[in-house]
Amino acid sequence: MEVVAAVWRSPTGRVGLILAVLLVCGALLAPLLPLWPPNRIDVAARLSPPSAVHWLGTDHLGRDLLSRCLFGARVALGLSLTVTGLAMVVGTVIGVGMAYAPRWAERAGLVVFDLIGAYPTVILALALVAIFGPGVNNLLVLITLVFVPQFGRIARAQTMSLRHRPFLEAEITLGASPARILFHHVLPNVLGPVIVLASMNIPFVITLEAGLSFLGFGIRPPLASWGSTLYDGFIYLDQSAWPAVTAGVALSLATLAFTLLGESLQGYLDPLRRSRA
Amino acid sequence: MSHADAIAIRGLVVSYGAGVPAVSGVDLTLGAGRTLGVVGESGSGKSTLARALVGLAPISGGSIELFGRDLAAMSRAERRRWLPFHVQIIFQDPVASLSPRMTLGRALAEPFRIHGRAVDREAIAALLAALGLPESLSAKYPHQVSGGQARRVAIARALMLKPRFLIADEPTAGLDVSVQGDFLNFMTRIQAQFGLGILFISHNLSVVARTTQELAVLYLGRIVETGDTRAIFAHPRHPYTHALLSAAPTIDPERRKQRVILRGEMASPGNPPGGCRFHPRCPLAAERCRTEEPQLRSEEAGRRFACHFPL
Amino acid sequence: MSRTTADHDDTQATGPLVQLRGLDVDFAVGRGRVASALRRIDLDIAQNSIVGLVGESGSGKSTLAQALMGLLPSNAVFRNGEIRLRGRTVEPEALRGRSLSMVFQDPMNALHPVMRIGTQMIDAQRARFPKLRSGVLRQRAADMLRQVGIADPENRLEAYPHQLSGGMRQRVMIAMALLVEPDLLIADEPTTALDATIEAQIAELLRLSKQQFNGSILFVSHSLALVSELCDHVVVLYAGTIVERADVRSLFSHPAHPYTRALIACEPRHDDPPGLPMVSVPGDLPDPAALPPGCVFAPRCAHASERCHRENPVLAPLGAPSPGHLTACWHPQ
Repeated sequence: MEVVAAVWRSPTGRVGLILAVLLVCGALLAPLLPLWPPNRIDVAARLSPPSAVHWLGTDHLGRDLLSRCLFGARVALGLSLTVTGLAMVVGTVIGVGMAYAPRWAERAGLVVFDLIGAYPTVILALALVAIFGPGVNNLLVLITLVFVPQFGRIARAQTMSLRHRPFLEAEITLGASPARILFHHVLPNVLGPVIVLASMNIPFVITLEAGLSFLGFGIRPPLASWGSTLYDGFIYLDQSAWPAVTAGVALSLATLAFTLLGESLQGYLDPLRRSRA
Repeated sequence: MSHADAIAIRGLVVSYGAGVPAVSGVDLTLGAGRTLGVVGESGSGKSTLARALVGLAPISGGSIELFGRDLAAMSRAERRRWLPFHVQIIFQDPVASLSPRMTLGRALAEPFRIHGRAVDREAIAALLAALGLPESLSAKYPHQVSGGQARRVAIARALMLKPRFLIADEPTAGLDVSVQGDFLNFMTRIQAQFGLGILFISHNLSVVARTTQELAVLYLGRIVETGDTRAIFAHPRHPYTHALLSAAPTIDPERRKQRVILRGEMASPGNPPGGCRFHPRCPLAAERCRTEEPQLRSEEAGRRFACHFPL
Repeated sequence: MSRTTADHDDTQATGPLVQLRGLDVDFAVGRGRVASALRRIDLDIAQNSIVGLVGESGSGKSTLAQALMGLLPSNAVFRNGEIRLRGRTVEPEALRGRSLSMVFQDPMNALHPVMRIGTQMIDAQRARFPKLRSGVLRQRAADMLRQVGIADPENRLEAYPHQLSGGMRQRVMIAMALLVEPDLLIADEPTTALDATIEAQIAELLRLSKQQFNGSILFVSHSLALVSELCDHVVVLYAGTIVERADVRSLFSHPAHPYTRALIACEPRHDDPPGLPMVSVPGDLPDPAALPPGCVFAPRCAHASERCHRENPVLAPLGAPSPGHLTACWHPQ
């Protein structure tokens, strides 16, 4: 795929891509690797530094940090990729729909988007979690909801700008049905900016989840999460820096990976657009 | 000559939203093998007329008849299945009329795919050859070829379904004078080759003078004059036609030409002047022109004009 | 009232108002490549005249206009060249809004979309008349609007650009350009985006304005026909070089350069017999980053000789009977 090739060509894109692939592989393969069970408590070995037995050390309950990091990756990436994917799909469908809908429906949709978008994301997420309770499933639904308006707006704006382009009119005069135009021509062109937004969104969701878990509003223990590991590490910082550092580095790497990936995707799409214009 | 193969436009009214008619009552006939020029300025309705003929603008009144069917009476689905095989359009910006994400080869195959037919590779190759385009073009994207080639590919695509009629919407817009001739010769050639009836929409009178046999002059959604092109250029009957002809720049270093300078600008279609639509700008306007709208009439065969005091 | 006009404009040059000498402009186009946009431009604009600059796409005419106004884009390299106003060398940036003003092709993009016309017109005068009060400037603006044919000028000053039609916006632009009482008004394709009847109005407006404001106009256009009707002197540009330059009658009665002749032949005439195949110039413009040696038009020229491909011709006079008629060709016709 030319997209992958283009991303590979840019140095930052290459780094982002490699990191992201490593992280995803790590997260996917975690249960198959010979790791300490992430929830195995071993109070005797608590807060120990890296050793041959525990490669990254242990947390305040003696749980292996390497294992908790990799399993935490499953949560972080799983959640962020799912949430972003869902928000992308739902948002695009609604956004494209709004562009074709009657005015009143479009207006109503925009009002809802504005309402959701008016709140700072983290505050809104906190409020929703406070109302509906924490936990992975709730988090999934709530964070998706929070991000749907962004995707909806981009999808709608793209569709609107495409609708009257000459090449679409040419398809109509050739006899293309509205369905064909939608799926063959509108959607592929809409997906471009939507995918870029998605890739820029993933690091944000990762950080949001970590932040919520840090505050105790996110993943319920004992499920491994970078955010809760970070919080616990923060409390026991004077006794051992390792939990905080490992979780922090993991978070940073994940965020970096997807941000670089997103930026190089954006770079790929922009010059193409410029040369078309 | 027989008008069996012809598009007969009668009393066409095209309104965009809010009931504002861009075209209000146009009668025209486009015969196969002939070129009819439609000239007018922005707001005249010429582009809207073109779009109505290919189903891009809604027909609010009147009829468009061809091959025994009336476009105005067809449902959108029927039109979509039937019209593309009879009337096609080439747009003003040929590069923009090609999808940026499709190779030119795929774009040429689109007409077949849209209608669920097998892609006829031989027909595509033959058409490319007939239009002087190399086969290698099929693998390229629109932004990778020259404007001239993109123009020809767009025309090839339009001809793929073998329509009898071609609408050319400002086909020379943006073309330098030095390459315009080539393109117009090309149009003449393919018209003869494919027996096309061409509706040539343009604001460029010099080009229209050379390429059309008949001419229709549009002002604010109505026809003000039609007839044989040469006859109109030699002796325009309507004051607007006269002004339009005189406004077209010609090489005139001695400044011999008497230019008619109109005052004011064309009113908007939503708010046309009462009586004759042209009267606020007309140098010959009289009381009658303010109150009574002139109808199209004929004094000689093949010529029509709508004016109380024709030239 | 609409009127018919016949124009007989005779100008007496008293010494050139503007002189361009040896202007070279290049553009850095990335990856170390340099595109030559203008080469050795020598140009005189006389007092009280309208000079037409004709060229097609890629000729460099807009670049020339921009260079005169000091509006070249950032990747332009103004290599050599002198601009002289009344004999003295000047920097164009210093003269903008005072001795030099410009009318652009697309008034919608040249006018500030969210400022009222009146505000823009007042602002435009400040560089030239720093001491005058806003009220005075506003009155001047209203008077000028009336002069350019806009009815009800006092109210029009309150309008925003999008509320006016294309023709009106262009009149506003011309009014703004005239308000500073420039020595030179540069009009870069001012009528290209306008309808034919409006184009006629604007061309007429420019002609009358020149008579009134006593300056000169540089009229940049791709239309040889329009230039023939409006201008006193014509300069023909091809791929960054001046190929011919003469007063208007001389240029059209005996065009010397093959490109000029081709351009004239390509203009369709209303009285041509039908069915005549139309003339074109075969070939394409040369790549400005990789120009051929010798005459830049040689690859497309029907009369090119071996010398043409080797040596670049210099602008030289044709001699009697038209001493002011110059062309850059080894085989002028």
